[in-house]
Amino acid sequence: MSEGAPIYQKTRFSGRDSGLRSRLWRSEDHLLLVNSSGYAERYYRFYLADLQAVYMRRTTQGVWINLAAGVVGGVMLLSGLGFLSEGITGGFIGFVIAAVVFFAVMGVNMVTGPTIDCYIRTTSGITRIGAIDRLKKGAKFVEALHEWIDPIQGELPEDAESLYDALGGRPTPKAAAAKPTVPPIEPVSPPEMPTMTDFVVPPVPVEPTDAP
Amino acid sequence: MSRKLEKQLACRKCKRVIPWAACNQAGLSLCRKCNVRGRVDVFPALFKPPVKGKAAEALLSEDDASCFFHEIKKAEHVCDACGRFLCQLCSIELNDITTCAGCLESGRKSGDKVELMSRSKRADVTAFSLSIVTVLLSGVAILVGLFDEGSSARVGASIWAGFACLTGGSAIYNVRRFRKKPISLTPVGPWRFRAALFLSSVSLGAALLWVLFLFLGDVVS
Repeated sequence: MSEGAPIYQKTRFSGRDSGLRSRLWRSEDHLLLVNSSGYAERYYRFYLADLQAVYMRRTTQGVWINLAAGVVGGVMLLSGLGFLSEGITGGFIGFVIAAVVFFAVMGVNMVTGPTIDCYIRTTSGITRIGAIDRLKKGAKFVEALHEWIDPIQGELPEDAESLYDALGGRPTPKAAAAKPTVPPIEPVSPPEMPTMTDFVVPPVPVEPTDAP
Repeated sequence: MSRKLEKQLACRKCKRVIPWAACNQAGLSLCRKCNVRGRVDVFPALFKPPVKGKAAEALLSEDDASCFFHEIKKAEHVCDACGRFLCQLCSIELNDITTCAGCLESGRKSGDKVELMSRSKRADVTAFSLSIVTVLLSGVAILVGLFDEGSSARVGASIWAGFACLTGGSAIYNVRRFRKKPISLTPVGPWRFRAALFLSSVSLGAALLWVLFLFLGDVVS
C-alpha cells in the first residue's frame, strides 16, 4: 500500500445487497462500504464529518422469505409424511431433511428480525447501505455512528428544529420573531381634490408698449 | 447509487418531507402518506453550510510564477508528483499531498494510489478459483488415464491435461503479475496467492507427468 493510505478496521456490520456481499469498514475519519461479488469490489467512502443523516425503512422482504420458506417446507413435510404412509422410509427421511432446512431458514429469518433498507445522506448524495439489512442491526449501527460522529460533529444545535424548517424554505419561528413588526395603518382622510379654480392661470399683466 | 439531494429529509418511498418531530426518535415512525414505517437520525452536518473553495488570484506582476494550466493566474502551489506550478483552483490537497488533476487521474488509473481506488478486481480470488479448477481438471485427466485403455486413454488424458494447462497457467500468471500490487483497500492476507501457486503447480505437474507416463509407458511396452 502507498504511504498515507488509510488503515481500515472491520466492523460488525455486513449483509447482502442485490446478491453482492456488503460490508462496512472504518478508518480514522471515514467509513468505507465495500460491495463485493467475490471477484470484484466497489468502494464508497463516507466521511464522518460530512454525514448528515441515516434513513431506515422497513421492507416486506423478510415476510416474503418467511412465506416462501414456510410453504416449501410445509410441502416437503407433507410429501415426507406421504412417503411414510406408503412405508418408504428413505423418501420420508429425505423430504424431512429438506423441510428442516427450509424451516431453519424461516427460523433464522424470524430471529434476525424485520428487514430494512438503510440509506446514508452526505453532502454529495444519498447512498444505500446494503450492509444494514435488519432493524436490530440498524439500531446498533445508529448507536455506533453516534459514538463515532459525536466527537467530530458535536451535538445537534439547540435550534435544530427551526434550522430544519429553514432548509425547506419556511420562515423559522426565530426569524419570524425577529422580523420588525409593521405598525398598523391608520385610516387617513383622503386629501382634498384640487378644484378647477386651482388650475386657473392668473392673467399675465400685459405691459403697455410704446407704440409709435 | 447516489441521488440528488432534497434540502429537507424526505420519505424514501413517497418523497413526502419528514417532519422534525419524526427525526431522532428511538422507534419507528409511520409515514402517513405511504404507510411505511421508518426511522431517521439527523446529525449536525445537515445544518452545516457548504464549504466554498477559494478563487485563484490573478497574476499582477511578471516576476510572479503563473499556473501551468492558467497563464493569467498566480501560482500558489507545486504538484508533489510532477512539479508543475498550480494556482489555487488547480491544486488538490489529498492526505497532506498537493497534486494536480492530471497526476490524480493517472494515479487512480494505474492503481498505485490506493486511497483513490473506487473499485478493484480481486486477483487473489481469481487465481485461487483457477487453481481449484486446475486441480479438478488434472484429477479428471488422471482418472481418464486410469479407467480408459490404449489410445483413447492417452487422447482423453491429454485433452483434460490441456484444459488444466490453460487454467493452471492463468492462475500462475495472475499470481506472478498481481502478487505485489495492491488488490484491495481492505486488509487481505497473501494466503490465496500462495495456495493458488501451490495447488496449480502441483496439480499441473501431476497431470503433465501422468500424460507423459501414459505415452512413454506405451512406447516402452
